[in-house]
Amino acid sequence: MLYENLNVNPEDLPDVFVSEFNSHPKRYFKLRIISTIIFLLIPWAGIISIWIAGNHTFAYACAGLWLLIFAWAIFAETKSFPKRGYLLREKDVSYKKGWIFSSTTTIPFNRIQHSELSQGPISRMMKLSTLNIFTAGGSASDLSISGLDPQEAERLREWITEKISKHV
Amino acid sequence: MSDSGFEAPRRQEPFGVIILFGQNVRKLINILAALVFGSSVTDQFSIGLVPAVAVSATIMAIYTILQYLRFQFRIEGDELVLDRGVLKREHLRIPFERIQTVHVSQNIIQQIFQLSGLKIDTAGSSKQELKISALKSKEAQELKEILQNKGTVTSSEQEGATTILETNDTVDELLVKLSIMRLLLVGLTQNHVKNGLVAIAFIYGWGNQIGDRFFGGVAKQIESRAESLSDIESLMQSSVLFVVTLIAMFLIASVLVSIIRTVLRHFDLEAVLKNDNIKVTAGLLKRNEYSIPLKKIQIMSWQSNFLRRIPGFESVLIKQSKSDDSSRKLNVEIPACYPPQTDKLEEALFSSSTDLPMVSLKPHPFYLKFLIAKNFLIGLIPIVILAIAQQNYLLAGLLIPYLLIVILCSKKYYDRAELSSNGQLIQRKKGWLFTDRSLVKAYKVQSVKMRQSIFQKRRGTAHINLHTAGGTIVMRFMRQSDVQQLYNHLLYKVETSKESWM
Repeated sequence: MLYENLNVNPEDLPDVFVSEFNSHPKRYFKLRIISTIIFLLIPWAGIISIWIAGNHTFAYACAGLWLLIFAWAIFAETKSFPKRGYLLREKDVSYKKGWIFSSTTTIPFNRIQHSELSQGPISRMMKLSTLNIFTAGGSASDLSISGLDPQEAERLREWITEKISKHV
Repeated sequence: MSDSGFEAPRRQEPFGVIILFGQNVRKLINILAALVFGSSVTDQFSIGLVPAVAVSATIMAIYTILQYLRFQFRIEGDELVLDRGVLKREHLRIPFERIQTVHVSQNIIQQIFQLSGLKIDTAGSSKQELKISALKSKEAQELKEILQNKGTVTSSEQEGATTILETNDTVDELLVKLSIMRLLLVGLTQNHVKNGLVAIAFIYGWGNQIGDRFFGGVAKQIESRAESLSDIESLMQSSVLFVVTLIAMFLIASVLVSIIRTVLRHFDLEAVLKNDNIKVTAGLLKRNEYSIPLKKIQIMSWQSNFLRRIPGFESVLIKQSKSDDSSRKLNVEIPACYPPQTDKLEEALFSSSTDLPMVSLKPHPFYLKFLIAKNFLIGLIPIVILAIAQQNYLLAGLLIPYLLIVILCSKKYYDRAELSSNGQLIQRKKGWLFTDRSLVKAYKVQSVKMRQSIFQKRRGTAHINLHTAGGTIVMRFMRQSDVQQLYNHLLYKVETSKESWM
């Protein structure tokens, strides 16, 4: 036992790591796959110009490499998507993500400066919102939760705003 | 405080026109330098330059006078009210409690006219930094006191009468005063490698004539890289034999740069504890005065290196909440703190939190293996390439002494790494040749992050990041159970804290 000298028993503290995190709606997975594909279309400009330049073998090699990367990206996305999740507790908000490199972040409400909702063009089509949470001093500790149902996102933002206003 | 003399709207001192003009000229030169040197200078161009300069100087003189006339400030209740701007007129009201730091500075021109400038940083999302460039030095001090003390008094009122009593008595306690000898000692024991790299970046940026902006970026990048290089890896890499002479030259230049930089920055430095503020005055050509309320300090770092351990002093870095554009560092440095001064500082800052004994958390033993493997790989690749390129496979024999050095350094580094906490205070130690000890109060933390790769998961280790408004404390390869316990505990501490953390 580590904090024997404290007035609180560490066993009694609420544990983030045993909590059940909320997962994203299924269509966020689709959105992530679509954006991966769009991003991976860019190298095709290079591959096609190599083909036109006449170096066919090299173009094939590049295409093969691209296929490998593509397969890996889709595989990694499939593996990591179920790991994503957000958690709202009475006094803080948490987000976890990542398969090979995983991370869990928590920001207490009494350290949040403000929060806002945003929506990109594709996520608007798919009816998804992003919740951005800002803290003081630089962006290292800011948190952004993408792929939320717009109503859910609005609900979260209202909840957070209400909690912040109590602290100020 | 009604008769402070700042109630009526007022302008800056008349000589301020000259100072404003100087500032404008400097801005213009920065832009012009980039333009002129960016394009190749042809004869026609330089002929056209003379009238262009004359015209822009006139325009600028008029602009400066308008700027001076438009700029008015006053204190109204608990707010600083500012009117400024020629083309885009601004009316600003800054409540005192939003003011983060106020600092007084004097450059050469200001010293000639015996005037001072005042810089005001506000907290949080507003990106504005306010500047009053020309005040009588005495008035600048007065205004600073008003802006800062009103702010601190209003915030301390919530915590009871005792703190107000404390703010009333004005006891100055001298903390550090740098004599010339000690100043030179500080200069000699700088991290010369880092300073040399910064100097190279400077010459490089200047040689390319890309101007101020670009240079700033490069220097910062190299500086931050140099900071991470100050780990063991840099020493490993620099052991390549054929660059020895180059390194010697580089070192001599670096030592010179270090000393010059130190003298310019820290000349006649004086650090004083006053009214729950820490006040640092220093500088040769440009005298800066920083005053930081103890409450607003986020992280305190004590840094040292193997040279500084001989005279036995450390430099202290005081990290405050960063404003949104991180272009300007708000970190204040007190070089040459000896153990008694360190104790005094710690006492002033953390007095209430140091009662409980600290519990030390060491990193997971896997960290040592990771360090050895990583540092060995860094040297392995160049040695292998060299051996193949020179067809001299005996070079591979270098790997054995290299491995031994890597093991030694990694072990030393690993042994120093430690995170300790007593629930209220967190202390992180790291580094062997270049040591760093950072202290942060638990309630200052504003977000916690645990990072873990799947390889770490199998071994039960994880990294932890503690983000504060003044920077991040990272502890790598801790035991996962320790990380999770600390994580939950810190959240509990922050969420139950009522103290203002900024």
